Amino acid sequence: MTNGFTIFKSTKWHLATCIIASLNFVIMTKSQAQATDNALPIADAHIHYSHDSVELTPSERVIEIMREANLKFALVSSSDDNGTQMLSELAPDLIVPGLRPYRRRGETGTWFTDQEALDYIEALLQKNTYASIGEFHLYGSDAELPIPQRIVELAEQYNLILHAHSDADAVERLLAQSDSVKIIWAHSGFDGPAEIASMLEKHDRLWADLAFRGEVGSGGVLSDAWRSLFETHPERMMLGTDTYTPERMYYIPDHASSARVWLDTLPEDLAENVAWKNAFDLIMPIWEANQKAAHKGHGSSNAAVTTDSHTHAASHAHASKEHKASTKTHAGSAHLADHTGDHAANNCDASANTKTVVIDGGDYKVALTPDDELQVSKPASLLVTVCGDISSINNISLDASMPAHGHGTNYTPSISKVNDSDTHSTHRVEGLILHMPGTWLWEVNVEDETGEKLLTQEFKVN
Amino acid sequence: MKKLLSTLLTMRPSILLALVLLCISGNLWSQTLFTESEIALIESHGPWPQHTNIDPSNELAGLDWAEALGKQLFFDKSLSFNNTVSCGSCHQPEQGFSDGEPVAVGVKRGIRNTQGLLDMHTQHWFGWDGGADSLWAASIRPMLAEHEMGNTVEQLTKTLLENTTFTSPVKSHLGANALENTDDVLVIAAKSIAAYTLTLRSGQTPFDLFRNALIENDTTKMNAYPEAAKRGLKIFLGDANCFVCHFGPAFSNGEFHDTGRPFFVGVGEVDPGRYRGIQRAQNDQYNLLSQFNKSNDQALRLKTSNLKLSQSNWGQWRTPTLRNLTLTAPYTHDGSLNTLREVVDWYADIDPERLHADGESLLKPLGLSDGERDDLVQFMRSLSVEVR
Repeated sequence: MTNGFTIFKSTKWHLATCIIASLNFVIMTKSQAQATDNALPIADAHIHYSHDSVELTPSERVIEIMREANLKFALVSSSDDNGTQMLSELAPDLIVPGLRPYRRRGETGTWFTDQEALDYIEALLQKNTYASIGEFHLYGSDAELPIPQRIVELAEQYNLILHAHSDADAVERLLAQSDSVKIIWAHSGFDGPAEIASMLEKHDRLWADLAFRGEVGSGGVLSDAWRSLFETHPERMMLGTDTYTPERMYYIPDHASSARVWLDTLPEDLAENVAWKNAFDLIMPIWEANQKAAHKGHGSSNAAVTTDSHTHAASHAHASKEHKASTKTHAGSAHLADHTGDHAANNCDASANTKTVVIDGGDYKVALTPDDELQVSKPASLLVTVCGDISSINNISLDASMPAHGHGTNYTPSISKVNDSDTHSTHRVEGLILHMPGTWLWEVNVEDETGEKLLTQEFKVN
Repeated sequence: MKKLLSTLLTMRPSILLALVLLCISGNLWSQTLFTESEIALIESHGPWPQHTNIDPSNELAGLDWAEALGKQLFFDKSLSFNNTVSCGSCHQPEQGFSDGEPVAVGVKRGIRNTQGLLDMHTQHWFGWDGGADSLWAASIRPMLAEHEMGNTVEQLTKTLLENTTFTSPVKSHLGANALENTDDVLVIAAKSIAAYTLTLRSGQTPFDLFRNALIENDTTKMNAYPEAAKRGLKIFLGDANCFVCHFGPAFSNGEFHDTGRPFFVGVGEVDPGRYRGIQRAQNDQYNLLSQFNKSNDQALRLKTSNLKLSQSNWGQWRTPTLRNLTLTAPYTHDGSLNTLREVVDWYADIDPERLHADGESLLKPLGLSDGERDDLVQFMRSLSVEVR
C-alpha cells in the first residue's frame, strides 16, 4: 500500500477517525455529524430498531445517526416489526427491511417452538416486502424443528435471505433443507476466522457478518488470521453493529469509524468489499427484485423471482491478494533485557522454574513464567519461551480469556523479544491484567509460514 | 426475665439439655456457616485498611506541604469560573465526599452521579468512565469541565498565580521556576489536590472485624457480626457471584462492566461510558504518557498504552467500591437507584435482554427471595464505617 492514492485515502480516513476519537464530549451529540461525510461508506447488515428503541429514539434521529455514519444502507430487523417499517418509510434509500420472528425482545429462546411467532411472520410476509428473515437465534438440531423448517420454505417462497444467529451446526442444517436459500451468518457464529473460512469454503450460499466481534481489528490492528479470511473470501464478509439495546443505536457511527481504521490496512478493493460491496451485492438484488415483484401486483409474494447475487458480486469485486502480512516480533528494549535469565526457562522445560507452565502445541512448545504470583487486577509480567523451528515464526502474541464468562482481557499486553536461537526464543510480556478471579485460558498465538497456531491452557487466578 | 428463668427451672432435664445444645450449636454456627473456599475468599477481601503505595506518578503525594495546599485548593471556590463552586461543593466530607444528589450539580447540572473520594489509593482508573488514568489527571478535569467548575486553563492559571496561598509553598518547595509554564501551574495544583485526596481513607468496618475474627478463629468476635450480614455474605460469594467484580479489599476489581444499566441522557443522546472514557484517557494531554508523569517507572504507563478499545466498552461503567455505601446514596453512574435494596433488586432481576446473548455470561437473574435480598443489603451495610 505505497501508491499515492492509497496514502491519500489512508490520510483522509485517518483524519476522519482522529476527529471522532478526539472529541472530548462525554455525550454523543449531533456535532459529530460532519466527520464522516467523505469517509468510506459502510453497509451495516445488523441493525435492530425494536419496541423499546422506538420509545426512546425518534425514527428521524435514527436516520440522522445512520447518515452521520455514512452508511450505504442498513439491513434492519426489529422486535416487533413496527420499528423497521417506520425507518423504511422515512428513508427508503437507506433501509432494507428484514423480518424478525420476535414481537418483543425476549423471544430468542422460544420462537422456534411458538406457532404464534410463525403466524406473525406469515401475516407480515403477506403484508410487507422484505429482503430477509432474521436475525433469529437458532442452535444445533433445533434448526430441524417444524417452525424453522417452515421458515426455510418461506425464505424460498418469498425470495428471502436467512439471517441466522446460529452455530455452524444449525447453519448447515438450514442450508441442507433447501438448494437455493442463502444465509447471512450473524456474528459469524462467534467462531474464529479459520472456522468461518472453513464454512464459507464448504457452502457457497453462505455469507457472514461480523457484528459484535470487537476482536476483529481491535485497536485498529487486523490480525493475520482475519486478514487471511478476508483475502481468501473477498466477497463473503460484511459488517454490522448489532443495536441489541436502544443505546447501541448511537454506536453506529463509532462502529463505522473504528472499522474504517482496520479496513484501511486492507487493499482498497478488499476494504470496499468488506465495508459495503459484499452486503450490497448479496442483499440489494434480492431487495430490488422483491420490491419490483410487489409493485407488479404480486403483493409481497416473490416466489418467481430469482437472482444470482453471487455472480453479480463477482462482476466487480476483485480484491487484491498481493498483500502479505509481515508482522515481526519487536526486539526487546534495553530495560527489558535486564530481566532475561532471572526466571526464564532457556528451553521449554517446566522443571526449570516452579512457576513455569509449559503448553505443548505439537509443532511448538511454549513455557510461561510469571515474575510473580498472578493476582486479580494486578499488572503482571512474564517471560514466554517458544521452542521449535524458530526461523519459521513470523509473530508471537499472548492474551488470556475467561471462556466461562465469554470475554478476554481489557488490555493488549506488550510483548518484546528478549533473545533467540535456532531452537527457542524468549519474549517478555508486560501489562497483562487479569481482572476477575476464576479460571482463565492462556492464549499464545504463534504465527508461522503455514498459518496461526493457538496454544491454550487453563489456569486459575484467585 | 424472671418468668423465663422460672420456666427454664421447671423444665424437664432432657428438654433443657436439648435447648442448651441448640444454643451451643447456634454459637458454633458462624464457624460452620462458611466452607473453606468461602473463608479463603473472605480473607481475600482484606486486610483493611490497606496501607498501600502512594501514587508514584505524583511526586507531590505524601508530602505534608502539598497535602495541606491540596486541602486548601479542594475547598477553594475561586477555582471555578464564577467563584461559586469548589471540589468540596460536590465532594462533601460528611457524605463520604459525595453529595447525596442523583447527578452532580456544579456550575450546571451534570449527567453523572458524584462518586465518593474515600480510599482512592486503591483505584487505578478514575471517574465512572475511567477517563483519567491518574488521580491528578482526574483532578484537572472538573476544574475545566463546562458543567462542573467551568474554568479555562488561562483563567485558572491566572487565579492560581495571583493566590499566594498557592504560590508561596510551591516556590518554597519546588522553586520559582516551577510556575513558569502554564500547564505546570495547573498540574502542580492538581497533584496537590490529589495528594490531599489520597489522605482520605476509611477505617475498619463490621465486615473487616468479622474477617479478622474468622482468620483468628475468635468465635466471640465472629458472633458480633449480624447473622443477616453473614447470610448476605454467603450469597455475595455464592450464587450471586458479586465477588467476581467486587473483588479484593476495595470490593472492586477496578475495571468496567456492562450490567445493563440504561445510559440515555435525554432524547437522542447517550452517555456511552467506558467507550468514551478510553478515548478520553488516550487523548488526555495530562495522561500518564505525557511529560507531566515524571516517574521513571515505565510499567506505570502500560495500562494506558495497552488499553484495548472494543465495542463491548459501549455502556460499561466502573465497578464501584462497596465500601461506605451508606454514606454515598444514590447509586450507579446516573444516581438512578436510590437505595441499596434497589441496587440488589436490579441485579437480582437483571433483564437478559439488556445484555448481549454472547456478552458477560455471569450476569443472569438470581431468583433471590425477599429475605435473601434483605440479607445482601445487610451485608453491604456492614461494609460501611458508619452504618446508617
